[in-house]
Amino acid sequence: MTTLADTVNPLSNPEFRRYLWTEFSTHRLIAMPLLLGLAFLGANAAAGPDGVDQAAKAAMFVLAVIWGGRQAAGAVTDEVVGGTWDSQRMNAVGPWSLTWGKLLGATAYTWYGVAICLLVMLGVGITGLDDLPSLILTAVIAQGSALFVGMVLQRGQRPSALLGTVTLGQVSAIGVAAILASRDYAWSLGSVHWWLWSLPGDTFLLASQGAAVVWVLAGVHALMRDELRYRPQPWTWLAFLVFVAVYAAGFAESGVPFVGTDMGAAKEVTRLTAAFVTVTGLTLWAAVMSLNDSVTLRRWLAAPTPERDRPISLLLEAPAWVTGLAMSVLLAMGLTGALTAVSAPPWASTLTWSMVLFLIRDIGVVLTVNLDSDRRRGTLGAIIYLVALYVLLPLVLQEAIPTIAMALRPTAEATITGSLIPALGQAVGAWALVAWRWRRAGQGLSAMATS
Amino acid sequence: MPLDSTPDATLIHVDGLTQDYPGHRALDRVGFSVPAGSITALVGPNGAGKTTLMRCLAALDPPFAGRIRVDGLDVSDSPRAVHRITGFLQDIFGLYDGLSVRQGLWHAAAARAVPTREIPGRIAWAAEAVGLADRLTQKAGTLSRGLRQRLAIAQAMVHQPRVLLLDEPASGLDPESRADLAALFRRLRHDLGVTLVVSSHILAELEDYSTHLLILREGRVIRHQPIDSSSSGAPTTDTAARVVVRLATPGPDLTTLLGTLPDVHHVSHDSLDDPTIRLKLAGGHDPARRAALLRVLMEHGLDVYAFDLDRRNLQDVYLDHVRAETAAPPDLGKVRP
Repeated sequence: MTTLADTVNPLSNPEFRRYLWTEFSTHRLIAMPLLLGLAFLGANAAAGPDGVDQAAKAAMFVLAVIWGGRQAAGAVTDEVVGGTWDSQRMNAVGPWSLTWGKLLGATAYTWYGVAICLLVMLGVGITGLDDLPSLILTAVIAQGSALFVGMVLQRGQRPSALLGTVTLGQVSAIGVAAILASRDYAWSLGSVHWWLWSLPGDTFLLASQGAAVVWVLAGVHALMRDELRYRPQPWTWLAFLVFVAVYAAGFAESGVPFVGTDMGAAKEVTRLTAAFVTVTGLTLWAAVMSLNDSVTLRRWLAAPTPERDRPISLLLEAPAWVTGLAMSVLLAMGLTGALTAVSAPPWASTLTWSMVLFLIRDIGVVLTVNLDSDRRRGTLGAIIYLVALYVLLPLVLQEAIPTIAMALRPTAEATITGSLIPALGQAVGAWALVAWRWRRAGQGLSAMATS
Repeated sequence: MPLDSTPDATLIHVDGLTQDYPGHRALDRVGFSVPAGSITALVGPNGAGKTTLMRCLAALDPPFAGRIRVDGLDVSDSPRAVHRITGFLQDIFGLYDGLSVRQGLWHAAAARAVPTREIPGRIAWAAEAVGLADRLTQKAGTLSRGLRQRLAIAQAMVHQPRVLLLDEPASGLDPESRADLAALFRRLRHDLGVTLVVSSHILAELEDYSTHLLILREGRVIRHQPIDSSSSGAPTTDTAARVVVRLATPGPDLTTLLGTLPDVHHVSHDSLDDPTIRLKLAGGHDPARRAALLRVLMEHGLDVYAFDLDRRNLQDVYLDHVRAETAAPPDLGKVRP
């Protein structure tokens, strides 16, 4: 029986304790302060206290983001490569314990170094105590993102291909840290207007970072649930889409010129537009990043059949891009309604629905390329085809067909014949290719099932 | 954990299990039941679906269709509950090389929810059971392949599961360790009532401890039967038995002659020069019936120099079935009892 002491004692988390055993040794405990001390002494000799402060920040970035990002990205993928992950999946450790055990355990040694850097920063006195929460939250978000990306991309990969997955997770940690740093720079100069509030930039940044930590942990937790074979549920993803839609809509202001025009749109329109564009973009991202294997999709579609007899699984096990697409359509309907109620360009509704059709086409392209294919090649192939559709083809054909951009991607002043109908045709074509791939994927199964 | 099920109670029940991989059906409408406290030898050619079946039984992969119940738990509805009562050693397994044997076993026990105060005792028990008690402080990364295999087995059973699934558990072990492993499996079955499903290509080794045989081929069950009387109940004296007769001077028309004898069926004699004849004798498990047959053979002037029950080993049974399936594929949706 688990006692209260076990519950509150982090060392009772087997995963965290395992990492402490493997990550810390007497040698490593001594080496970290020794090396950092040498670096700070050198910085002091070269540039005085300013140099030490900068060196501590740089060391913290290297430790928390670059090294910590690698450790977090490999927290699961290294186990898959090492053949221990299936054993972990059968453990009694719950998804939350495994989430924090891995996130803090895999990066425990880097946090040991980060703690030394923070103490040095405070000792020098240039970086204040009130700066630390933002730095720490940035590190947690970066590491959490790396773990999330590592977990998403390891699915369906051969163990030999997982090194690239870890690298991508690490790159995403650096990218997230860079984005947060840019927001810090942009918002710290003034106040941020969000919905009805006008907040100091650093306060808004801290609140946004707090929300990001929650969502990163929620995302990893959802993936852990999935890995541990808890009942599938779409609620985390749906709640995240709602949150991001509301978050993005909060920045919209009335009077902002509508896409590609000088016309000031009503606040409801700009807010719905921001929400719609954000959800549509995330849906496409989800389609690209998902493991689109025909077996999982067939199993999902078989939910209401007598063979499985679990109709509710049609909702619970729906791929992320399906729920995202449904939400995009709902937002498109809401936006269309809002556009009819206010003064808006006549082509705005056409643009909205062409965007939905382009999204359907893009999901079709993604499925055609990566259904049952090698995970890495499939994902990269899908990205390349999308770049060709959105960037290369419009560029190459622009002179020959001046309206080509409108027919290939959402564009201002969209028309029914120039944008909506081509988008519909491409969507139908892309899904015809998906149907072809689907039939091919099922050929082996049909042959055996009917023998 | 004493055995709390009756010996013949079903612990694992599989019905219509179908599992797909992209473009390939790995398991096709598989169905069978495993009695509690039995040791099932899971055999079949490479690619038969053995590992896929084990992963489904361990609730690691959700089946495409069909039902699996382990100790009354549906693996699709309650996979986490199945995890708690199951131990699984895969053929390709990993260990945390930086941990000592004791730390590895502590992690395995704590992660499988063994109460903290019981963990030292479980570590001692598991290490003793696999012969690693004198290596508790040694790092896993420094162990030989055979010792790593033993540690992996110890980790899979340290929480004393009701079901233990082992995929090629003896690969990499020396003959002495294999014998120890067989003894361990028998102890787990008898002392703790653990139900084991063991996959291996070394059939002689499975024969040492298995009570049931499950043959898979191309994703379908082609045979599932008790191996001996220990699990299926002792054969009665009325049961037919295969008898092998060896003659010093093989002669012509032996098959015809033996076929005319009462209670003798299915006489097989490969060639005129072959001194070995196999037949099925009604009530052959009764020694008196066999003695009567031997008397008849002697009265017919046959030079019998060997006469006994035809004790066929697991490999013979396996090859018979696999070859029969290769020669004439049956209605594969059905499982012959």
